[in-house]
Amino acid sequence: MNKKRLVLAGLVLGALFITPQVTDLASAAASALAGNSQTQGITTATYLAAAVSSTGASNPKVALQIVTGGNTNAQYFYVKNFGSNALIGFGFTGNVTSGTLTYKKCPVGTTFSTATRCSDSSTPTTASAGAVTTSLAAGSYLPMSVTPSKTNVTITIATSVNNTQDRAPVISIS
Amino acid sequence: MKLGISPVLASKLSSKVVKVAILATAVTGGVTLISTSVFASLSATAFNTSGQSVTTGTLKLTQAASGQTGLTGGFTTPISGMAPGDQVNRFIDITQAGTLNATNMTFKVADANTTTLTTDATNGLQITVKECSVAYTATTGVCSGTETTALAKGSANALLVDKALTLNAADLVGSANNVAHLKIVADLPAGSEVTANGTLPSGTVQGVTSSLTWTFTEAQRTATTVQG
Repeated sequence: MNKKRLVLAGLVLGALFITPQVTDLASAAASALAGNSQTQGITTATYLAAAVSSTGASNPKVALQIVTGGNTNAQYFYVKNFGSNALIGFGFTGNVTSGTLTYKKCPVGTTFSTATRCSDSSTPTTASAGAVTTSLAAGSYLPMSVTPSKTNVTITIATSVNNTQDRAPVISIS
Repeated sequence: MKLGISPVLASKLSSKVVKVAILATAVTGGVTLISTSVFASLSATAFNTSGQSVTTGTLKLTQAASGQTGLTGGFTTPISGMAPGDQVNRFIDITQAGTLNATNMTFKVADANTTTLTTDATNGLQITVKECSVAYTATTGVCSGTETTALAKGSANALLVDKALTLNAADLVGSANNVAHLKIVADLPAGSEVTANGTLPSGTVQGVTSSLTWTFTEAQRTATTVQG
């Protein structure tokens, strides 16, 4: 017991003697320093797109689900740019509980007047699931239709954007 | 019977008293003489009649945005809407405003609003520092002199601690208007982020705001011993 106390006391004394020496060495190495700082804010952009049922919809942050009735009529939706950057494209997929799906699209910023006519009097063009190349400014939307081959089904439209579908990189000098 | 001191004894006693008194006086006088002699010793002092001037040098470092037209953004102008793949170039002038030569210049960044820009070493900001022997050309930002790499490209995350900045030796000499012309290149790697159904992926570099403080630090030249 006494030996243990002696060892402990020795360690404490050793620490007391060693610590000041380390501090002194650090102080001895000090020299004058000059510094200068400035603060800068930096924000980054976003590239986001989602399928919605109306042009004024806010970002749902989930895939769009469409439940059809007892017919195979075209169902309308919009792929809207909810990011801060302009897009040069996006990707989409459609899943249906039964049967197959076909797609059409109208020009950006228009709407479908009928299943075969866009609001700018143009004819809808056929689209395919996968990558879609189109210029889509922030807040703008692409009108699309999806037609199921069977009645009473649930359609799920999912979208995605990758960095190559974001606007082209910019090198700025300022 | 008559008691008294005989004349002979009285004479002897009187003589002893006188001797003791003389001895006491001598001792006291000697001590006094010895004591007095300490203060009476000679001394001499020499000093310069006109004060010697001793001045110390100064170590001062300032930074400011380049004054070249079109390159004045510096660190005080925010960077906004940066996207993966983008590069932002800013131009900074570092001035040795003191009289002492400097050494060991370092550079670092601190993020008061920590985001993936400074925590993600791979997908976050990547910083490069270039130095031009003359001021960078207005508007274009091209170096018409000799351009060297002061800091090789590395992550802002690594810059959270001081990194050595390799400047031209002449730009560390202490004198007014001794300016190092720097270009700070900030790259946001293209990465491979995919957003789905309007949602950002976890750990994204998109839609974040950092508050970066850029700091240059230097040390005084090696202390010297001067003879003469």
